Amino acid sequence: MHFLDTPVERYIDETAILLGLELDPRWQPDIVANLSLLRDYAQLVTEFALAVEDEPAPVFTP
Amino acid sequence: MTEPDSVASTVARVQDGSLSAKEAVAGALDRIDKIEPALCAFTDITRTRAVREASTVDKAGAAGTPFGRLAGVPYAVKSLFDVEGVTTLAGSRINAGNPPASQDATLVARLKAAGACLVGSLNMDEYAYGFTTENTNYGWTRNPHDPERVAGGSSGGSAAAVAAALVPVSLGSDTNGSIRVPASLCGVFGLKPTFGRLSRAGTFPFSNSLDHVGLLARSVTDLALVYDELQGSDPRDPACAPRASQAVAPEIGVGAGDQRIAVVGGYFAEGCGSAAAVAVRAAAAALGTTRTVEIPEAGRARAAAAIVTAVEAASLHLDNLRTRAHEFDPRTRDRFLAGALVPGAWYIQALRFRHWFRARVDALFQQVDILIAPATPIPAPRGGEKVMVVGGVEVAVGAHLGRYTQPISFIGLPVIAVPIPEAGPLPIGVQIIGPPWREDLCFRAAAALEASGAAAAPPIPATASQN
Repeated sequence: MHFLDTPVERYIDETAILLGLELDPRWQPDIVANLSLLRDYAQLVTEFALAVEDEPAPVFTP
Repeated sequence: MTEPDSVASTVARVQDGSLSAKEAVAGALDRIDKIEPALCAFTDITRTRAVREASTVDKAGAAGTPFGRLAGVPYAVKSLFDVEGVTTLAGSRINAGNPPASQDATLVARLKAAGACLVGSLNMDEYAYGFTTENTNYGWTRNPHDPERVAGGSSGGSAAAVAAALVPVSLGSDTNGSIRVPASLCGVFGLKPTFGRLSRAGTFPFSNSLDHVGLLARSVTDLALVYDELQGSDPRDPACAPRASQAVAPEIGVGAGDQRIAVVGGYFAEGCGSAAAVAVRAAAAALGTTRTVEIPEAGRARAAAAIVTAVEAASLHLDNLRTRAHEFDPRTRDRFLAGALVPGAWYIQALRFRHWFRARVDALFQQVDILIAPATPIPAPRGGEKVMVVGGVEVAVGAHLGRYTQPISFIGLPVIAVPIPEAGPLPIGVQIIGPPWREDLCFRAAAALEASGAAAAPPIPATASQN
């Protein structure tokens, strides 16, 4: 299993504790949906090969 | 019905004495009083300030002092701009408990110095995180062309107020499309300049490395006249570039001339409805181009922009997410919470990808001067719609509205969203995209489209007309 395929529910619960976030259980489905969408986006970004010189700009300039 | 004055006609009439600034402001306030209750575009109406500023303009004129270049022009600002004496709501219930701003945002101060008169602050998605301006705290801003449809967002109040001619010009902000999306859905012109061109000082941030400020108006001329007064470096905004102003108003009569213009295909030709496709074809035909180019990896750029936005926005609000999460708008709270949980490696990879993507688009601009792309995939959806079907595929309304704008703002390119009436009964626009710092090229192309008749703000809708 690729790490991006890991179910996010457990990750949300445990990372929220680390960040000091108290999550109302009623919010869980929408947080799961949003983080799952971001995970899909991350898959697109992280699977793309970049060179070591492709660094983030300290101050972004167009 | 008499058409309300534009920026240009207001300035001309105040200068020739056929209209006083107080009359101009009174006209705007009268329209707001009659139309705003059904529109929900404003969160504050700064009546006293507007009249005071107009009086100052009129007294200076009577004393023989030269008028400012925007003398007597009524305007309004998205509620994330600081207005002295008004709490900067940014669409949030949490911010309503903050003290009033102690000074104006830089751009508000510049408009005041030019003689413009502020009539109020405008509704938006909470903290700018949305594309529809269906705000749980301050109401749902209606689309003036069909009140059952959304105005777009997050600068929805800014677009609706201009489309309904409550003001001839408004300020907004754009992080992923928040000027261009509502401009498209409401049928007005919207400028998102190059990242760092206009000062963000005194605006409530959303995503620090992607936030732009800009403006909306009903014509290219009005957009240019006001944009020229907003330019200039500002040490109060570290992202504002130390560049000299580059006036565009003198450029708009030049025409597109020998500009190399191309339609963006590939990703930008997929996922849209027929109206958006018609709008792009009409703009291309009016500008005389049959050329198509592709922006490589635009889908990944959109994905990376979404990650950067989520992380930066959540980081900004982390303290309130810990202690006051229940006070967030339910429409945005879960996006912020999800953003707080994003692994750091995803964020850094997205920033690294931006470096790669910018270099590829820079190379493309060696071959072309102006790119044409859809502004939104569809005209305004109905309020409350969560999903829509585009090309037989069901997609989330909120996210999909930014499909074509996000890759462009991700690398800070200047864009004018231009309304194309030929596309159908509901407004929809195209993006006129230029190389970094070449707003002048965007203005020339947008003005050429307007002069050809292909681009125009639709008539003020009947729902916003007054007898």
